Amino acid sequence: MIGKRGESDLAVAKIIGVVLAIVFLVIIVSGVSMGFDNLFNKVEGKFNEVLILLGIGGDRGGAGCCRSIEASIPDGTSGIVEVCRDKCTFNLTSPTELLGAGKFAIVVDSWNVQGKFLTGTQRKIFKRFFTGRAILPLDSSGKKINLKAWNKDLVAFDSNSNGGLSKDSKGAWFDVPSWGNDPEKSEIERKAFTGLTELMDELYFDFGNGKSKEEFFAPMEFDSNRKLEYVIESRLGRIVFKWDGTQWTRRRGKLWTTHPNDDEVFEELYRKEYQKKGGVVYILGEGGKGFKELKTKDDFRKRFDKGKEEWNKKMRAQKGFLSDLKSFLDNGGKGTRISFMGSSPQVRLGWMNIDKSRRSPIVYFELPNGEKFGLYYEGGIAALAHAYSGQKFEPSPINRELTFSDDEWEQFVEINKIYEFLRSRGCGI
Amino acid sequence: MKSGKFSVVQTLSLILGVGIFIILIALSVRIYGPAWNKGDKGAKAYFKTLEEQIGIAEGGGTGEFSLWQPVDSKNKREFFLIYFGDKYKFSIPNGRTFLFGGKENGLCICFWDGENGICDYCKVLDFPIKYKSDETQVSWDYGPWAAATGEKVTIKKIGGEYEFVKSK
Repeated sequence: MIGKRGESDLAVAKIIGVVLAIVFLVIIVSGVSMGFDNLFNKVEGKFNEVLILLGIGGDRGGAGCCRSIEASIPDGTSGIVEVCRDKCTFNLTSPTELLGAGKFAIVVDSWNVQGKFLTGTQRKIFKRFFTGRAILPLDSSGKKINLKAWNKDLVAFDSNSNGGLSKDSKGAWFDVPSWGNDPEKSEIERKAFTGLTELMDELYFDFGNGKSKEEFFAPMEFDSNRKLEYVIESRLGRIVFKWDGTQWTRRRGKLWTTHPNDDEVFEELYRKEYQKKGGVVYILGEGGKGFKELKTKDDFRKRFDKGKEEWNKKMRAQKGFLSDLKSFLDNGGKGTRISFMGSSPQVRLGWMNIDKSRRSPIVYFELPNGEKFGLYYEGGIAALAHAYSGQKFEPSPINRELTFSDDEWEQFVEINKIYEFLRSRGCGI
Repeated sequence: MKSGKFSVVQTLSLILGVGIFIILIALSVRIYGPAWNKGDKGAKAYFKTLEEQIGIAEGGGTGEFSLWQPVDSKNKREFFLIYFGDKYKFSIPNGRTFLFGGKENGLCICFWDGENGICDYCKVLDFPIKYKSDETQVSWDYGPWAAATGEKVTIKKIGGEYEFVKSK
């Protein structure tokens, strides 16, 4: 029995020995044939996979290689910053939301904001915040809310070159243009806006006479430099009649003549439209509003006179308004100067170009360095414009946000501070 | 035994054999696998030296540190000494970006593994580093910088600042 047991023991030992020998042989042979580096890489890869599977290892390289850091913004918010190669994300911890969003990121060089559980009110705020951009609201389960209602906005958003949108299962990301996000500049613009708005409110209280604000400030939107123009387009060419408040000017090609008489202008417009056929008459700047729908000569004349009367009325209203405004500013009244950043600059009246074809009155002040801030009106709402020394006025990029309540504004500034913080830490550069 | 059952000794031998086999396999993987990461081991060794040299500077002396290991041309592995200042990220030429997992004053031994920048050995200094990229430079830099293979830095601690000066 002993001898047999010894033989069995030997056999087991032999089997184990042979197996081990084969394993080492395989390692060495494949090492030699493949090159040891390749073998190591293969084993390393497999070993890594097993570690990842067991949850005790991870891919140390690749895009997923990120760092998490606790961060606090001085006098502001706290959060966890996740830094990856192409993306830095600020996850709010205190407070947990700003304007309804809890996550902010710089991806390559675009600024993204994520709102997970936006309420109706927050959606409205965000819609204002992302001027002219879309918002794709998702509920807490990630299900799309009211998607159809937002589809139009999405189309508009897609066609906007200022940013893009992407969404994940937790919410929606919105790109925000980086300009206008400088918190210091934002605060300065807010102060200028508030100061000038208060000044214009004083004017309203003094001269409002029961009018609504929209009605009262309407003359601030009238462009008196752009004269009333009737245009005839026909096979014979283009004729333009311009009314400047005192006389008509007729232009055909490069030839200019004056027409003191309304009747002469009207007769020419009427003959072109109704008698020569093929001609089209319209008032420039009224969206191509024409005279086609008018059936009789009397109707035509009424429309012609009404256009001129309305223009004259607006002109008179603006003259009166600007005269009141000028005397309010010039006569040492209480609104002559405003307090701004430790100085008290004089507020003046001027004009700014809204776009290539439109001008508008503006109340503005100039700082010692030549920088200017002004208030103009668009759609009955006050808006801020800014100009660097020697340059023309440009509308503020944060005009919608300037009308935020104090609480909303503070949150907006905090968001800006997060952006600046991430930029200062090397993100998005 | 005639019935073909293993004896106690045979069973123990089998268990021992299988155990040895598993240990050998594990050792093989340990040696050749990711735990034996050349970059990681190299960074760890450099980091130990760096800490020693900073210790010399903190003791009032002048420390010296250099990256001597040549660039591994096969897998493009290259070591760097990187100071992040107050940045989370720092990029060097050829699109090589390195990330720092701390708040500020991070000094790290990093390596580029051919695809990614890895900075697992970092020291968060109590004081900022002011830096000159060569001895003739007039003013000091406080921003992030990197020293590569073949470059040497001298380390001093003057008051509440470290002085790092790079030389070839």
